[in-house]
Amino acid sequence: MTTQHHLAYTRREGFAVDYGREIEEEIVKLQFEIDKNTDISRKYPARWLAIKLLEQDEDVYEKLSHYSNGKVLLESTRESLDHLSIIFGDDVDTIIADRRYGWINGLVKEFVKKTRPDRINTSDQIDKFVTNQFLGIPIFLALMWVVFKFTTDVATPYLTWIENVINGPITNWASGILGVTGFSSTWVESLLLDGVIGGVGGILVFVPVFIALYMALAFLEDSGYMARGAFVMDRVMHLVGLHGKSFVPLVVGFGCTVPALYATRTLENPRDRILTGLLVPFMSCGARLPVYVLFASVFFPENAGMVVFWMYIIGILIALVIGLLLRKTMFKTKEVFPFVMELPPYRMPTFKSIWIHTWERTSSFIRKAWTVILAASVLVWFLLAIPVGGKGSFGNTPAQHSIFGKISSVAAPLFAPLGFGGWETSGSLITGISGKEIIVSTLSQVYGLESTLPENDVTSSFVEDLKYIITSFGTATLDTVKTIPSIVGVDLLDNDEDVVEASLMTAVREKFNASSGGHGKLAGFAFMLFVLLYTPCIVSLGAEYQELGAKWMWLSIFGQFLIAWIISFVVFQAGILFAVV
Amino acid sequence: MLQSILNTINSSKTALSVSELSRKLDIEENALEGMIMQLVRMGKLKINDYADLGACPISSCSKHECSSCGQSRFLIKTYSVIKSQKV
Repeated sequence: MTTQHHLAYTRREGFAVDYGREIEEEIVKLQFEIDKNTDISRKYPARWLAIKLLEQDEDVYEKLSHYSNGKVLLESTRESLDHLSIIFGDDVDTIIADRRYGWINGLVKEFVKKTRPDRINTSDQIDKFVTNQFLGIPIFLALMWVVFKFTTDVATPYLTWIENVINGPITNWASGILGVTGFSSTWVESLLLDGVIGGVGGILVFVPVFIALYMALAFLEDSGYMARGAFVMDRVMHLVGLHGKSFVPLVVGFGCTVPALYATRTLENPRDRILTGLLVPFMSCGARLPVYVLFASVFFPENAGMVVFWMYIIGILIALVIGLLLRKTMFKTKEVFPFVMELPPYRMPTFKSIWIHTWERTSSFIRKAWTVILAASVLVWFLLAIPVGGKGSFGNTPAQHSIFGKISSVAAPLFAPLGFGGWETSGSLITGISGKEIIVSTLSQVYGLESTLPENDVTSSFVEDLKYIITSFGTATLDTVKTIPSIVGVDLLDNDEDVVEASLMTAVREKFNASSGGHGKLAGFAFMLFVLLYTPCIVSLGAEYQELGAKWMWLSIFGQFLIAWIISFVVFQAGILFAVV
Repeated sequence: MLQSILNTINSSKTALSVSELSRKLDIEENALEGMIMQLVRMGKLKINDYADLGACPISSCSKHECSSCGQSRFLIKTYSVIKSQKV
């Protein structure tokens, strides 16, 4: 360091970042070298170029290599870098960045005036409660309860409306078309009415449930709360020794298990990735929701929202317990991977934005209904149509004596100790492997075939049907408006009214009562638990195979089935023993 | 400055929000976001924004990418420390 260099540093004036004495002296030294080369100094500001050289900017190095005396400058840079490395013992470029941002921070603190301080302060004020280590979890649970209460209460009138429309006018129109085309009373009629309308229609009934749920979730997401909910969940993960970042895939699992399994890729440690991947299927994905809503509406009509809410909570609790057990046994690690989350500021969501997000998800469900569920329904119909043992003919055989009935009957005894040993139920659990919502479409198909309900009134005209659709929609809307105050405990509905129960609901109640020796409610709850916990759907298994490997996929298939069986067995048998319901 | 950001993240047992980090280090939130991005550029922090999760195998999904899937809207942008990195 020459006196000339030192003086140049101390006399430095104007608007410039101070990188500290040692670095500034090397900058000045390089500036002198640059100034000696007029062809370079004419093109680039000397101080800027000196800093870039010390930051080892590859682009600058490459450009200088084309100048005749560029190599000399690069050699001087190497000397300066060696000298600074001895002083700081670290990468010089990171030291420069560190100093630059330190200077920026000081500058921002001194001169930046916030233009919208109120909003930022409001977000911080709300976060004091919402992300508080003691209040955060109760607030999260309370909001989730409101979401499920809203979902079940608001959707129920529309659910009944859609079922009546499908079983009434739509079935009438389909029958009419079949009559005109000469397919009436043939297997084609059975395929269309029992297979397609019974299967796909049975699941489309739940569209209002999805709309209500996704609306509530979109409101929480767009308001900025959902990110806080995930943030709060992270602390729960740590309590049981799980990796904090596991919470992101687990929360995604509430939507769909497949992207959740893919989201485990963000976990650095392969053991954390496998552990999280094994826990993801315990989260209640959207496909399980129709099953929960159907069974909660049948067996717990007064507290359907609360029961659905508890299914989600039970899934989380079981995942945490299993995670803790696996962490203490097969997945021991003390390594910590800390991280930072971006939490958006709170804002009032717009209706347009909520609707876009709601429709984006609901349309995905409808697409699935017309592809995967339609294919599964047609397949189930064929299996139901083929007779075994010479009883009946194709498309005209008692369901229990079809291939589907026979296969399901073989599996049925396995579920008898759980309270749902009917062949229809075991059959729906088998088809449910292809997608959990298919459990409902299969039940709808099977119970539809066995139904002894009176035939639809096919004499109504097209105009009368349209009139019925519109007027019953109005009634459903009015009922929905009346149910909204019930979320806060104000009941405006006329409870003396005769509630018209959907035929599927009646069939489920009767069959479960029969298969459980009169403990239908208990069997229904055990069935919901089984659906929550048993083997993931086939697409999820494919994702598990891809992400975790064959060994862990098989563990998931059999391990989850075993866990589901044991828990459902304990709940049903203990319930009977202690006469819970 | 950047080192203190990494030290604070590393010493935290739970996830930190950018606001929390800003309060702990007494750095303006906007400036902190810039510093975090600088750490990302320098290879010290990694963004987990789920953009590279690949194609979705659900045949009915029209988006074909988990990052743009409606079911994946819970995905939250996080930054994690790349191990054995020191500023």
